[in-house]
Amino acid sequence: MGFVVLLADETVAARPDVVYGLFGARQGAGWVFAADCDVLAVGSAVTLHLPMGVGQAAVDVLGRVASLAPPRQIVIALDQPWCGRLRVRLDQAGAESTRVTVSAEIDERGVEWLLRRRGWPARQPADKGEYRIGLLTSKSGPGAVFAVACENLAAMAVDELNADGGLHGRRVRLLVADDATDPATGASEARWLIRAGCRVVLASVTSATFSAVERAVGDSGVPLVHTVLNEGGGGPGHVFRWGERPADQLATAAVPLMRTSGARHWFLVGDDYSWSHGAHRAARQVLPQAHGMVVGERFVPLGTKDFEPVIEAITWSGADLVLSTLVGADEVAFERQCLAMGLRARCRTLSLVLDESTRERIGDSAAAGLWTAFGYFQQLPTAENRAFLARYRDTFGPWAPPVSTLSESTYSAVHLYGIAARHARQDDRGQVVAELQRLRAILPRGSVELTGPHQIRQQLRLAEAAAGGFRLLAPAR
Amino acid sequence: MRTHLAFDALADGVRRSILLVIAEKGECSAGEIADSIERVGRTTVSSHLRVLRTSGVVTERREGRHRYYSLDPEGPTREALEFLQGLLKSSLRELKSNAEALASSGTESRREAG
Repeated sequence: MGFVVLLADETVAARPDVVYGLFGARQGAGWVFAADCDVLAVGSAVTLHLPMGVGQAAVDVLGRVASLAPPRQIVIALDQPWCGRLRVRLDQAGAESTRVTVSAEIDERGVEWLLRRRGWPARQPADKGEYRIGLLTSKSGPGAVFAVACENLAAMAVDELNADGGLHGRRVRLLVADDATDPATGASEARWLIRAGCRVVLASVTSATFSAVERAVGDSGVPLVHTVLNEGGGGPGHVFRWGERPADQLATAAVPLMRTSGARHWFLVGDDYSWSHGAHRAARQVLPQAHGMVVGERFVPLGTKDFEPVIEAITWSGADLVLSTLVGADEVAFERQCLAMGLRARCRTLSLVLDESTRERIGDSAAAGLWTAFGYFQQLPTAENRAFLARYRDTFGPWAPPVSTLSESTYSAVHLYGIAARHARQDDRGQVVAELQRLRAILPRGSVELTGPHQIRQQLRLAEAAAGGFRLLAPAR
Repeated sequence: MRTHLAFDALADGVRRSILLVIAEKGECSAGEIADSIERVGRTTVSSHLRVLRTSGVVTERREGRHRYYSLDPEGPTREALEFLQGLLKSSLRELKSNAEALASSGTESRREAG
């Protein structure tokens, strides 16, 4: 894949160590794109804020420190919304002066993303008779945090399908679109994917976007798959809702957390859209059965950055347990502010969208002790998972973002679709849809069974966030 | 300069509609474009096409009396990359003012201490 490299430089009247020391120092727009980073260490997560112009929201560019040579060089590997390296060099240019050179790589996918974001119409890729699979994911907006490895893993699964002969004698090609964590954008991007001839749209997006996609292109008959955890729902047979359900997550995690902590009084915090509302409905059913009590609830708009009023409300409520259904950047901000405001001393937290990537952005200290339950964690001690992670690291390198249940499920969705398409004797949509409603497969997360369009049977695991990852906890008895 | 022109070219709703038509149909004539956009006459389309051409966004091909328009494959990429390059530069200017403010306050405090 080709890269373009952009260069810029500037001479600064300060010594290199002063300039270097400013990096990630949380002084507002202090560094290149207001780089934000807890610890300046190799491997640690970095967020850059890219201003996109008047009237447009800034885009968070997610990456991590790939190498450091203080005070001469910082290299950041970028994951989202494009892949490439950002290299900053500091050369002494006089007694009290530094020449700062920034080089930014941007790959083809990144250029394509930038064009769309700048308002250029989408280009229809030339049809070479491929079998097209569409991926709708969140490369920007608050959802980018949880969706970060989805594109990589969908691409890896497509490569594996192709290595295995493609589908119905044709080479499989992945087309990727960004919903910007916005339902209207998601709907129009889904239309584009279908116009481009995609045979299925895999959606690693919020439930709000998935509903908008279903309304926009549900009539097309093209299978739509919500790959990631969701609150469930009905719909026609070609609209698939896979992923974990909040009631199952709660059943796996809430009782053990109450038993461990001795606490019973829950405060529910969520984003104000269908996912959190559905998850809280499930909580109000599951928690009382286990002698838990809901003492308070708050919903905030998706994209909220300041959680102080919510955390004050939790403090006043007398809750000793918090259920967070916040997603992506919202969950990151909430957990960090909980630690800063001292809430950890009085409450244990169960978070339903605390995947590896979100945990990493929350940071080790603010994430420590949070509980969650998913079908997949990187720590799963199975041969399938080890082989899967090894292939991922071989393909995308040591600085690629961590795999999570959300990205593994995107990888798995490509394979489940591939299995169904191969089971179908002919290249026929109706047959593929029928196959997708009755499938069993062994995936990196273990064995799963698809039963009907709206359910995937899988084992959920309970885990606690710890430094550098998760610790799997023994299942409740 | 071209970046600026391309940005202006994209700012207009009719021009964006024209670009959408060309992007979806591939190369097409001014007449075909005008037919696809409601409530805009052929002369208006022609003048917008002129703007798009001078800003390096679409290319024109003449064949006899007819003119055909297609997206300049380089145009949008150039515009987007120049935009990003501009961001890199402005972020370095910001770094410069922050670092220099810090360095000079450091010097002053050393002087005060001395």
